[in-house]
Amino acid sequence: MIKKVPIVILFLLPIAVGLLFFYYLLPAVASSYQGQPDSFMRFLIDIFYPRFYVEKERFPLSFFTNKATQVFIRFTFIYVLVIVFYLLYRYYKSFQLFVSSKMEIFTNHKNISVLRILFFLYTIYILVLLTQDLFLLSSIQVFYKPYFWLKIFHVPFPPSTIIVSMSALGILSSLLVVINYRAIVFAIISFLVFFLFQSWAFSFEKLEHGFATYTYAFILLPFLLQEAANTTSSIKTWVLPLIKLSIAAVYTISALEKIFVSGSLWFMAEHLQTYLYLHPTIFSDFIRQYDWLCAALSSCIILFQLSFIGIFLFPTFKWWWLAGGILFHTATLVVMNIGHPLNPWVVVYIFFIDWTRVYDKVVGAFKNTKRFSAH
Amino acid sequence: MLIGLLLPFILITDISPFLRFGMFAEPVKKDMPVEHFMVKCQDESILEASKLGFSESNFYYLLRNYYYRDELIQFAGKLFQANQHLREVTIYRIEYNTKTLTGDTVSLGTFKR
Repeated sequence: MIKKVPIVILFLLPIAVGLLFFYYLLPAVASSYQGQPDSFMRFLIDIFYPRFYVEKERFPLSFFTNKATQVFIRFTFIYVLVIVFYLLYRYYKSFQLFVSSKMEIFTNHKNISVLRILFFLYTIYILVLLTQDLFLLSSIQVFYKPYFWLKIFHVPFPPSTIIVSMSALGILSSLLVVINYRAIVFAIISFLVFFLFQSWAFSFEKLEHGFATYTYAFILLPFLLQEAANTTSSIKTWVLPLIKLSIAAVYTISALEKIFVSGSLWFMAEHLQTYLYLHPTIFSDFIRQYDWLCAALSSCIILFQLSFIGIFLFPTFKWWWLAGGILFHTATLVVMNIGHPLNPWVVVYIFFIDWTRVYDKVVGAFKNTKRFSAH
Repeated sequence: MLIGLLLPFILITDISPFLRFGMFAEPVKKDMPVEHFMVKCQDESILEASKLGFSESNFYYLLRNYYYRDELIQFAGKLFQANQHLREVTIYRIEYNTKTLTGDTVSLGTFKR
């Protein structure tokens, strides 16, 4: 009887969400569109969907009811996936073992140290860039519209003295993590500075995705350092696999987003051609001329992003996905001028590399060279 | 962490620090016009976003938002606050069809300090 109760809840939840969708959300969307949102909808729009006030002027009501329907469809899609996972995990021992083998792996201090040093050296570089950005933005702070948490806590745009002091704090903290001095505490401080800087930079009505995977890795990194601090021998870690899974999931979710929003239209040459037109370079102008090339590139992008979760499930073939990722981000930079040469999306690939093995190979090769030259 | 990743996908919105990855996902309709904006100063020169502290893409993204919210007066007012040398700006909207290669430029108004 006790075991049956959660199963009943499993089926009741989507029914409740469905009722909420048809009897509350759809009518509430219509009244918000007509300029009469109730207080709850006003709160939701202000916090989660401020672009509604812009899009309302551009699109018909059907655009927003379609969006609300998408929420329901996506919820059902994810819900079914979670239930299937839950049932497989609960009833199949082999599936349990498979999940455990992916989510609990062993690593060592050498590997974590390299990851720590590389990640926080890069963080120093990012903090310097963000500091420069904030100084530039301070000249147009009349356009400042606090984003999300900053809005909730009424945080104003910072004066130059605060920017400089916080930047110094973030950089110093990152340096201390690099030399492994109270690494967990200073990693958290460094993250908080980075997060605040990023939020301020986003508070001009435009969100950038440039730091997405880097931010997710950063959130989890103090936990990884904690795992390393707790043991002197080999480290049994769930955080490192979770970082890898988060990065891989972002690519797969990006592909799902394209499929859910555009469906088969995304594979049409016209789709990529329009985006290439909006980002003109000599390369985008060249590619735009060929329908077959645009259609082929669109299909390759979806295939690459959708399959990226495979890097987590089948690590033997990780180099294919890593090479594909580097090619993808480099092409985006060269062809559409989007991104950065030291792209954070590529930098986080460091988590997929076993640095101990790299170290051993490099040292081995070095020893061989020495032996060879001695002969 | 995984809930944080999935929620923006389900709710089609960003929940900081977790983001929705809808970039380039929106469908492109056949013959859909592409729009550009342009701001001219009192001396007819084109206003350079970088001189105000904007990146070009951010500037036009903001301008587009203000245009669709019908807040161009507020936009011009903030431009004057951000740059003391500006006395007058004229904002243009250019609609361009990538298939038919035809375009149309409309002045959205001249705003004075």
